[in-house]
Formats: sequence, structure tokens, C-alpha cells
Amino acid sequence: MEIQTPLLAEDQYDVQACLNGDTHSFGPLVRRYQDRLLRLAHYLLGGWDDAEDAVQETFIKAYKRLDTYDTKRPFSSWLFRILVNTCKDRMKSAYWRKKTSLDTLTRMSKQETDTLHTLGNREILIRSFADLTPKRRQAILLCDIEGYTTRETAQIMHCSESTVRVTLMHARRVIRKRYLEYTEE
Amino acid sequence: MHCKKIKNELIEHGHIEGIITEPDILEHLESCVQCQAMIERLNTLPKALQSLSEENIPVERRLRMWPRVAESIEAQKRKWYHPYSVWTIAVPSLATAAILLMLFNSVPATRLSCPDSTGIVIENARIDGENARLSVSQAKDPQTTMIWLD
Repeated sequence: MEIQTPLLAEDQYDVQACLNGDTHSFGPLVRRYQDRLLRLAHYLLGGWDDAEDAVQETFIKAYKRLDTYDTKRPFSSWLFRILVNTCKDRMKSAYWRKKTSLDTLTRMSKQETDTLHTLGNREILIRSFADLTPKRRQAILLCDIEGYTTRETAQIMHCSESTVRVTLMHARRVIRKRYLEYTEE
Repeated sequence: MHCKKIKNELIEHGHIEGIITEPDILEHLESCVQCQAMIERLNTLPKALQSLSEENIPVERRLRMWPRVAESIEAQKRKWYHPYSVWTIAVPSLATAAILLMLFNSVPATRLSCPDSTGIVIENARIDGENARLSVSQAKDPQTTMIWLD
């Protein structure tokens, strides 16, 4: 059974204080969620520098649009939605296309794949994420790592619940395949 | 052969309970070390995925996040409160003034002279040491009367 993300009283309190003009109340919100956002952005974008920029942009956008936040919903889901959109925009940018085309050139060669047996589970999974499309990556990160329900993931990804289920099914299949290949003795 | 089928089912469903029911494959599974190892490896996947959510964030990135966000918010606030700089007002105003000046200068000044042949001089006077004359004449339009001072 899936568990919905609860509404946090301290989130609501800080948001209200920000809306009343107290900028410093945004600090606790940033500190509360920065780790989760940084981690997700890191796995989505593949690098810490890009992740840090994306998360900063997310917090600034969130502050600017705080009056549009629906207080009946979890603040974290709203924040994750902004982050996912920010990462999507970054991946569409000319800078990103240039960067990923370079990455493709330097992609793992067959020889490198052979040395994967020496890697830990974390590295194996990160390499497996690289084989997923951005949408599948988002779905698996939000559901299997962040622990969001399919309904919440659908809201964050701005799509239907059934789309999330299908996307997850494909993503998990790829991850299982890669995980078995990379951990094979 | 059975190994491949078991691997495919594992990749597809993540488990084989209730999926593989054929007795010969189940029998193979009990004796095949490779297949058992494969199932064991795959059983560690959910925990491995979960462990990613506990990954530590580099400390310096955590420490500088709020100061940077706060700085950006403050900078943007200044921009929101003073959206127009001196230049955003001065430049369009100067440009408009320059265009108007050019337009007025481009229209040649025309000096009309009194058609004195048809006019009637009402008054002759000296203004500032020069001769001046006030005259009335009839324009081509019979309803218009022109009064001249030259």
C-alpha cells in the first residue's frame, strides 16, 4: 500500500511567514529540502555542479511563485515539481545538448564495461540510470528512491497515473537488466 | 536454456514466484547455482536503490545553498521595487525629443506675403522703428477674409 506524503506543519508555518514578507523564513525550507533536491537533480542531470545550479534556480522560482502554492498539498511535492521542470528545461537547452553529445563521445567503452564488476552498487545504479530516458529516470527516482506514490509522481511529472505505471515498468526492466549484467561474476 | 528463461522472467517481473510453474524449470532452479546467484543478486536491488536516498551531499554545497538563494532573492527584490532605472526613462525620452526636433526642423518655414493688390490698407504705423501695415483682403473663397500685419 502506498503512503501519501504528509503535510508538514512547519512547512505551512514557514510558507505563511514568507507570504507575510519574512524572507528569512524561506531559509528553513531551503535547509529542510536541499539534500533531497540536490540528490534528485544529481541523478537526473548526472553532475553536482549542474544539480546545484538547478536546485538554486528551483528555490528562487519557488520563492517567486509562493503565492501560487496550494497549502492543502505537501510543499515537498510542489518543490519537486518545480525541480523536475527546471531539470527538463536544462536538458532541452543548447548547452545541455552540446554537453551530452560530448558525453556520448566519451561514453563507456566495452573495456570499461568489463571493469564494472569492481564497482559498488551505487556506481552500478548510476551507470544504469544513464541508460534510461529522462522520463523513466524521473519516474524511478521519484518512486523507488524518494518514495513518492504513483499518484504523487504523476502530479510532480505532470502526467497521468497510468503513464507513470507504464514508465516505471519500463524503467525497472532496464534497471534489472543492467544490474544483473553489471553484477554478473 | 532454462537459465535464459529464468533470467528473462526475472528482468521482466523482478521475481519468478507464481510466474514460472513448469516443473522441469523449477527442478532446474533447485540445482543451478548460477540461477540461484542471479536471484540473490536481484533481491539486493531494492535495498541498493533505497540506499541512494541516503547518499551524503558534499558539505560545501549544502552550506552555500541558502546564502546564495537569499542573495538572489534580495537582488531580485531590489529589482522588483525599483523596476525602472534612470536610463530606462531617460533613453526613450531623449530619443522622442530628438525625433520631434528633427521633424520640426525638416518643415521649411514659409513666409506669406500680403496680396496687396487686392487688399485694403486699414492702418499704417511704425513699430520698433519699422514701417508696419494692417490690411484686409478677400481670399478666393468669398466667405474668407484675410487680415494681414506686415
